[in-house]
Amino acid sequence: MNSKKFMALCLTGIMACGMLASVNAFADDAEISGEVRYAFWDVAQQPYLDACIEEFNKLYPDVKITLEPNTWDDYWTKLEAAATGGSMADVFWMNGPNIAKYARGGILMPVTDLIEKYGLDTANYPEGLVNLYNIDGVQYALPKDFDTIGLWYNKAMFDEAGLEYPTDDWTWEDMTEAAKALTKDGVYGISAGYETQSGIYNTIYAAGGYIISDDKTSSGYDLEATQAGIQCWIDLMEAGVSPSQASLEETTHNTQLLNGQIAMSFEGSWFLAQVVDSDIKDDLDCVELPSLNGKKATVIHGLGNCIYAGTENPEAAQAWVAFLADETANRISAEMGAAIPALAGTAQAWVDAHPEYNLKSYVTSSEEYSYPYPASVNTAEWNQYESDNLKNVFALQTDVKTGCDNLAAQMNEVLANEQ
Amino acid sequence: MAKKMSHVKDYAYGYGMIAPLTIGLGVFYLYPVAKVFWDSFHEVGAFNQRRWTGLDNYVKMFKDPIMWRSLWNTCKYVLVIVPVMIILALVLASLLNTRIKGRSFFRVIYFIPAITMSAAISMIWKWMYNSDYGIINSILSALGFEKMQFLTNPDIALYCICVVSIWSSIGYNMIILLAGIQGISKSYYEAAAIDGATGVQQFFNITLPLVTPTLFFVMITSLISTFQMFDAIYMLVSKKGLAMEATQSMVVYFYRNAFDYSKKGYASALAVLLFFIIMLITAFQMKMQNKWVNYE
Repeated sequence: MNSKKFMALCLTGIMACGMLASVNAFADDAEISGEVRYAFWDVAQQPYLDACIEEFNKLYPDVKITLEPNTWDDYWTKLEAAATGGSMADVFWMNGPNIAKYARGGILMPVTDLIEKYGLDTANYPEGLVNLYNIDGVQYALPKDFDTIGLWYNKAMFDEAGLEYPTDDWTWEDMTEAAKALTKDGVYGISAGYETQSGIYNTIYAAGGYIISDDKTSSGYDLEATQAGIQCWIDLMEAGVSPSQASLEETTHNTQLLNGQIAMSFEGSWFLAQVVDSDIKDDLDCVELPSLNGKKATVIHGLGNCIYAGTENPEAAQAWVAFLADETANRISAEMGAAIPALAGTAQAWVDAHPEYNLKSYVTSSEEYSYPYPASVNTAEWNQYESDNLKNVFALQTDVKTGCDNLAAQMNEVLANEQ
Repeated sequence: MAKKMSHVKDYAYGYGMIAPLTIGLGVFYLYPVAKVFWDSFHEVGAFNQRRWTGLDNYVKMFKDPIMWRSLWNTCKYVLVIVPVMIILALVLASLLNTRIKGRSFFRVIYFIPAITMSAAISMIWKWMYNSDYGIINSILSALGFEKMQFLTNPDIALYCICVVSIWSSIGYNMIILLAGIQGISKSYYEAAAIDGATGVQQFFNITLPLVTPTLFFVMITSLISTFQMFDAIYMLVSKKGLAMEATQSMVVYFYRNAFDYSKKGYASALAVLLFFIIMLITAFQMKMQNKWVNYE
């Protein structure tokens, strides 16, 4: 523990030096001016962005950052329409499923220049995320934050059932046993509904399967290992320890967990914001995901800040993106609990902001056994086929093999069209 | 010469007056319609990248089982919503035309859904239909019935959506029918009353035949809007929803193709098909109207 703290201290020191260096780079071009429109979808992160703008304007008093908040539901529809019509925000949030489509579509300005100009180093960000935003050898975004998946549980329900709390060393069998003991009187042990990022993607990797091949030409859903990573959820469903797929569709797993209807649920690190706002925040805690046949895995994802290729103020946009990728903005993100910042060494501040929870588990998993979020050019398209097929599997209307084989065939067709 | 000049002025004045509407119609209706026709012969991907594919989209469309299912769903919506809604609206309109207590109050109550945002209506119904917290299920379980999954059970979800749609469109059509009923000359009723006709007889022999022109209008507009049904389905059933395939209408399937699957060319072909279906049905109704519509 002590050595880890020492390490963290060292890292912070190194980062501080790095900050000095980059602050110098920032000060060099303080005369940049112009307006930068910044589109994003998570309104919960607005306070963090407001704080960033305040700091940014100390360095660049003549750049005006205009925030354009959106809802998740229409963010991508609007962004694509804006890109097609040429009225796009200068800087905007990007995610893994969409990056290749926008990069290949010629919508994005590479960030290679600004990395050099502001002395940033991609080695300081999680490798899986840097690679996610590297399309055909060109870097199009710097990771803003990262998220991994953990298991949240309701301590009060465990106490009542006389069970020991979950640990970071739990296995899938331990979790299943606990779920069975916790299911009674109309409450359920766990939510085992159809989820990708906070569900099957983690167990598919843990079972040794994959969703899409490394060369992005074939689906992994017809593999036995991949199907095993889905079967483990169906076993929970069939054991009756989870609300039905229909129930989870109407009231999502996170809401059911916060309402005390279920005792355990896989949740992404972004769930923290909902926990601290909830009535039962003192009853909740988290651990690492359980291991499946001795193997642990979590899917890692993170947002990136992208620049529109047709921006009228490229210099101001670059300065803003560089600022968001640098120490100050990452620290603000950590301290305000907005998201786990991507810059190495700053994640500890996110963990420390809420010592009442075992948040370290999210950082440990990202360092030790994280797998990149599966994506290709037309990710959104095969994502739709995933839910079309797998929701029926989770509703126990189709068996795993039939549903997955059908999905694999449809997904392979999409992937063939990408080539 | 002077006379001719004034003619030109008159024309210019006239065109000037209709210009805002004409330009709006052209930009927001005619151009998009033409564009959809054009796009339906292309494969249109992200950011408007396009490739000419001829009739491929249409060939694919007629072989697509999901398209047929969506079309059948759309027909079900029309067959359930239009007759039920028109009958209820007509009954309400004739009741609200009599001298009952609180007449204006009821007129307002029934009209409120028509001026409420359909998204808001759908959200409230979604909450009422919720199987764990919804008020309908609370009442059902208080009465000793089993809880029902209204919006996730593929067998009943479509009819639950119909209820919402009927409820929200009834007020608007009721007001139009009420105006039609009030346009009927009082002398018919007076004559009938003298001859000893009951209220029900008056309704079937005077009100119903003489309100047919209004009824015809209501039928055409509600048929068209039900064929284009989208927002209630989109709001009530989630994209990943178990009942999606069983409830999606042609327009929802069009939307999903255009924006979820990034197949805008194929989506355009779906829109063209729906356009012709609606056009044929409306033309058929126009032709049939002299069989049952009485113009005084």
